[in-house]
Amino acid sequence: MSWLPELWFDVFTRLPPKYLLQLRCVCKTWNSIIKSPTFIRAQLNQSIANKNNNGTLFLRHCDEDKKQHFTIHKKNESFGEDYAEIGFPFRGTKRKFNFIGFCGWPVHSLEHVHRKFISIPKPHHIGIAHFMGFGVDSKNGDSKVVRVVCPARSNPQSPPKAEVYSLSLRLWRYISGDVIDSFRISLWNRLAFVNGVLHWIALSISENMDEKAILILSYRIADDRFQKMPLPQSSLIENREPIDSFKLSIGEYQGLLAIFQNEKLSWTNLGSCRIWMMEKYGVEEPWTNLFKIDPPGGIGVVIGFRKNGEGILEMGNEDTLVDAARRRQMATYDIQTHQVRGFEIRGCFNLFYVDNNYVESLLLLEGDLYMEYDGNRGNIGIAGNANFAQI
Amino acid sequence: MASAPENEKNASAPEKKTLTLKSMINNEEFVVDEHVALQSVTIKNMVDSDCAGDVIPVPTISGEILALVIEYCKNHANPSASEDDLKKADAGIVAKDIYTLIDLVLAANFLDIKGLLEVTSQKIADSIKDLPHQDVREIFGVENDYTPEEEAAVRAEHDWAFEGFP
Repeated sequence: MSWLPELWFDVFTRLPPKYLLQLRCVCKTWNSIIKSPTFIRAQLNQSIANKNNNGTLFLRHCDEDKKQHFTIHKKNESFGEDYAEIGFPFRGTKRKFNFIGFCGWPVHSLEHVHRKFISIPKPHHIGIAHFMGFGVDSKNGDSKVVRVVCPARSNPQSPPKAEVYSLSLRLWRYISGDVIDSFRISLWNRLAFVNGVLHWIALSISENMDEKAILILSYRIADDRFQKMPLPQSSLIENREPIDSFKLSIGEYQGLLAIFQNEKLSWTNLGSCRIWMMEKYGVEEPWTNLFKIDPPGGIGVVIGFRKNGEGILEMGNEDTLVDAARRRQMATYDIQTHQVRGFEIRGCFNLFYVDNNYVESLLLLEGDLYMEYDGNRGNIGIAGNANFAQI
Repeated sequence: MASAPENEKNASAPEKKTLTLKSMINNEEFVVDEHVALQSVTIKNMVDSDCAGDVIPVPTISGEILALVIEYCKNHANPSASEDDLKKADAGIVAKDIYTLIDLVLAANFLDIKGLLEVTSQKIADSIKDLPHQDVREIFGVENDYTPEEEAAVRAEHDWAFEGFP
């Protein structure tokens, strides 16, 4: 029996994007299969389906000179030592961005030699960018860029703004509504990207501004919808004190939404941290109190968790009090033995981000995204690559 | 469903329904339980439309490959097999050289067995992903329809992807 061309498609979806770029040289038919939008989407979906098998962790950090790096960490044994740096598929942004969540990272060279660019017009909203993501919306087969912007410092009481850029329509579109208007997001809030939904811990304010509540603000990328979700109020209350939003951060644990409740000794040392997991998505109670991370000397900041359950921390270096915020070190935390193991990745305070959703794709094969940037209109930051195809 | 064959045996012990699959390449015959063979959508369609005789001829699949296919179907017809067991068994079935895998994926495609098609495609992908593209072209007998200049131009677009490859 001789090989059937229709079987290529399925085999190709299981190959790494970088290798597929080589296979384009085999013959014209293979080249056209690999370049087709249908195939690119199928390859991304297959990678997403397989991602739970490999335990790859994506890390973003800003080094001491505030240059941002994206690294992927694969091996279990030598985690933190053996990793590869990957390139950033966006251009036109000079300033730092804040947090990211992504999946479907466009594969390309680190050096960007001879890259072409797809130009994106200037977005509408100005302010301090909080999140920017890129990905494919599998429902409509459209690639889009999502941007959620925090208000400028001059107007801290205004709500965040959201807009979406469609690559097929070549248009920015506002996402508005009562939900987002009633929220305030702080620039420093972490965000968690779980099951195609972005989550922040945010302050919800009633219409006449006199009632405030700490809730979870979520944004489902597939249908551009903001929603509010309750926090486990009764679980989080300690000693009858009101919940302090500065002590809470949000993350992911084993694919589920998690809350990190910190003791908070100082800005850079959060003391111990209690991990809560949302058992049933969107349901207020019960959240499960999983465990408490409490190593001697405090923990710095809990950034997230690996697939194997190991915690990832950002620690301070007590020897360098000068410029301490630029000299943070990453560490892993074994939840069984409570052992903390530092590894040689250092960077700025609160600019580390980890994500278990990393998969590579052939999106943007025709060129990187380029966004016009106007330094006088505020800081436009770009942050990563959200996986819209996962829903 | 799971215990039906057992019950039948214990009751009046009527013979389990079997099918005979015959490789038309080397005339090897395999007697298999019907519920095992029915995992092939192709065979199921034949049986459902009464097109299946006592012996079902399987063209273009050798006895060696047919044996692997039947092993896969038996494993997956066993209701007490855990997911972990099946994963291990699947890995054993596809631990073969690339030419056997090509025959196997063609057989899985012809017989329309989705799971086998998936694990074999995955194994083929894993087996070729470190090979130079020239070797892949040769293994699969693909004709290079580029002129040398055209091929060089396609390669130049993403030359960095060839790092460590000839």
